[in-house]
Amino acid sequence: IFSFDDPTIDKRGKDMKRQTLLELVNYVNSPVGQKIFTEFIMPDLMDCIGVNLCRTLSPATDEFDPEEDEPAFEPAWPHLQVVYEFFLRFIVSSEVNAKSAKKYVDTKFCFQLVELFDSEDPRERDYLKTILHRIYAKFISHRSFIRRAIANVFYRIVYETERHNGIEELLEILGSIINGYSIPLKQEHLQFLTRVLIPLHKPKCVALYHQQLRYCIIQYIEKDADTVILILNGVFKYWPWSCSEKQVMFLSELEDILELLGPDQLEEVNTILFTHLALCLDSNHFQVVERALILWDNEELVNSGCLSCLNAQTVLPLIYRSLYKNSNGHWNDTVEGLAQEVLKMYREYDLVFYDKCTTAYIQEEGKTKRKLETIAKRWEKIEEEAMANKQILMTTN
Amino acid sequence: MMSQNNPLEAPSHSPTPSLTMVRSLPQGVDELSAMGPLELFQSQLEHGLTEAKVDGMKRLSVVAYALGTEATLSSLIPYLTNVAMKQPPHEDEVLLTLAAQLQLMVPNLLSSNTQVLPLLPILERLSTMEETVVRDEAVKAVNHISPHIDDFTQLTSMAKRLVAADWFTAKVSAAGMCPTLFKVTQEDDLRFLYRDLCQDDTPMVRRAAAMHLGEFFSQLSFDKVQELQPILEHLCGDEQDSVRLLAVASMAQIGPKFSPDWTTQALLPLVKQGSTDLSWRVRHNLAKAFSDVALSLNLNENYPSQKSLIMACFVALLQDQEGEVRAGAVGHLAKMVHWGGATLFTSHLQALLPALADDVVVDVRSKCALALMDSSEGGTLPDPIIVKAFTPLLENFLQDEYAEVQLHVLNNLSRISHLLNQMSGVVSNIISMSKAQNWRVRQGVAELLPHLAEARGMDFFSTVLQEPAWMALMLDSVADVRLACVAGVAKLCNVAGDDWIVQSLLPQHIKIYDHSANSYLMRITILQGHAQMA
Repeated sequence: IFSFDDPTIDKRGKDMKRQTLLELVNYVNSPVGQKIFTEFIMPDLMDCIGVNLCRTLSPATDEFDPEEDEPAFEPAWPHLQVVYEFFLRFIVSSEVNAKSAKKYVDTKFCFQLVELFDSEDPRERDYLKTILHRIYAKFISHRSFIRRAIANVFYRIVYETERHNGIEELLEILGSIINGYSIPLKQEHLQFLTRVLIPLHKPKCVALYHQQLRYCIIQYIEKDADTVILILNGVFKYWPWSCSEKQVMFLSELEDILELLGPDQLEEVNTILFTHLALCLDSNHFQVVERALILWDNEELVNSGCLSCLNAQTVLPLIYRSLYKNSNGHWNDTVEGLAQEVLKMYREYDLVFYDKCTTAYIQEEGKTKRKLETIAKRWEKIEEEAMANKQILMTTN
Repeated sequence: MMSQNNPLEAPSHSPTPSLTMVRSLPQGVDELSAMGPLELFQSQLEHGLTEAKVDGMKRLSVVAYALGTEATLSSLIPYLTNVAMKQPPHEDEVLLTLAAQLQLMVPNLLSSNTQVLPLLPILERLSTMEETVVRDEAVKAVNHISPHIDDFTQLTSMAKRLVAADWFTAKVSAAGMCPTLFKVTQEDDLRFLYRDLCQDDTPMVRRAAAMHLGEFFSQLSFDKVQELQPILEHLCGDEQDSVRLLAVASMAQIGPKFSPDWTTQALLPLVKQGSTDLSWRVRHNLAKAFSDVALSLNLNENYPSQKSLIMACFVALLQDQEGEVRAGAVGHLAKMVHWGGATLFTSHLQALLPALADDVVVDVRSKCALALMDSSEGGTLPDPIIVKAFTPLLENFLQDEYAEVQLHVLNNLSRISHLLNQMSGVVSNIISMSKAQNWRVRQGVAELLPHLAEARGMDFFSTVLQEPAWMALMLDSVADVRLACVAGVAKLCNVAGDDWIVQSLLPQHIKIYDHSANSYLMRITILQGHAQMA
């Protein structure tokens, strides 16, 4: 093993090692070469690979902003790449069968592989992704362990540190794993959804892997339509009220989910969904409001989904106030226009009901102001009482 | 966050209701103005949207105090129990505020055992919540109220239930509570529970257990610690490096109470193992806590071989491949020097210093500079050693391209000013640094010059230092440098005596004053100097 910290040390040794490794790879690429993957050679092979690959990753560069900075490439890449290539050939080879190999490609090794996903070098993560996927496909007995190891990594991200470079790759693998789940979904898989995937919406860096996360969520819904309720409740719980960029992303995800929402599930979530949407429409940030209003542009939702006229009776009272405020004097023209169009749509659905909503709204506004004053006064009074009590308690104790 | 000292103080602490919040409440104006504290609180929690709920919860302690102890126990707390147990649970912010507010009620409102006990189920529930901050606050609350509880079985059975939960959240909370619970109850069962936590499947739980390990062990008596010793070894050898690094650092808290015999047998091998661990993170964490760990081993003069073993481990860390580990270790260099004494210094550490002083990583160099300065104090190292070993290094440091390194040395040189006599190289460096680019360096030099005067005598000062360095700094363009000079004038007076001041310094000052008609700043500086001299 050569240390790559200082590139000039021992250059000749490093080159020699690389040459040898390259020759090995070329050899096993040929059909003749494949024959060397016998059980006999496996312990030594795994030893060599383990020593080269399984290392603790060097300290993370401080303040690494994944969107802005260039990733720090692994200095030992010339060697690592060839080792990875070699290992990939090994795993893929038809000469290697799972029963004999699984003693050497064991759970400890898989665990190390999963840990390596935190590497900053995207090329390494790419190799890891392919390799882990192959291992998952080939070694059935290791599957549950790999899922658990990935779950542990995600727990750490959500509950302890918020940095990990390899979430996208891990989620991509997960996507195809979920795709392969059999229906009906096992309890373990449902737990994975609620305890791991949904909380993954929480961390600040969700933008990096949101795409892959969405894919996984949609896969779950396609497998079992009832999961939609769990997912919606979870998404609403973690809704990022204070971060507008994240809100816009969540709204896109919401749109995907709503497209798959069936009428039975809709009944259960109807009120929550639209109370929530009303709060989004109330947002101070115009992009959030705009994105929420664009939901009504979605043909599927309007024609047959939750935004259709069948649902208008439940929907309109909840969102009327916010729509009205936005359509009548919002500083952003696009938002104003969109809001007016949505109102028009509901007017066309059912004019009578629409008028009823309008009158109700006007009455409410007046009452609300007076309520506010009353409540504030009442709490002040209560606080005075409490203060007095506390003084008494402190003097007697 | 609510302030912990006086929650019922100025209204600025209490939340202000908003239109959105109010809109969600169904009652009319008349009804609202007649509601008692409990009804208002309940109304906000039942009917309101999130904002109303949070607003209401923030007023919880106010409600409790307004109701008084009896009513709180009979109506409020049962209601809160329902709130906590509700499925699906309330929003995290509500629960977090609940945990924080409950702490405010103890010990003023609720102080006796029977009064505090009802709070326990609520907090138990909160410590199983998914959201980390809620759990942490609940653990804090339990630790706050448990000293007031006499009914130990309740506490122990709560701990048992938490550890037996199937999801890791409850177990992590249990790990946080165990030290305080044990302190209060001294129940044996808790020890076994903690052992279970340390051997749990989920790395999250083991991490939490390792984090609180030091605290827990420090509560135990000696024979009990002996029983649990295998756990410590187990955690230090865990397959997850994150667990190992926490376990290794916890040793700093474990040792102090116990005899050196036991610590050498039990803890020393673990220190050795930690310093040669494959994962740099473990070594880094150990390096960061090294002097605390070394001190906790309680070794005295009777154990020279063990002491040099520890020193050898330290040396390994100082020479580690990873810059971060070296930087962490160097931070403790001074303390280790004092711990080890002069003999161990010459045998182990002295040889390493040149390499460290020249290290590629700036952090290492700057910490090394600081460490050198710290270790020269306190009398551990005899003067000849200091002069011989440190002088070349100090010269290098003073010429370092990073101001931070230079400053560490400059600011502390006054402590060894009695030795500066023998370090002429250092002195010449200082003189050249008075013209440094970085104003902080110049300020450091200005502060140092009076000490130099003291060390080398006034003749040296007037011949070598005064013209180029002192006067130049007095007139420096940066105010702080001039101020440093002004402060230094007072010390100069002490050192030099009045005559010299009147003879040499004063005429110079007056000359400058007359010539600097342009710059009022200069004149102010001179005047300030005069004030000091008086």
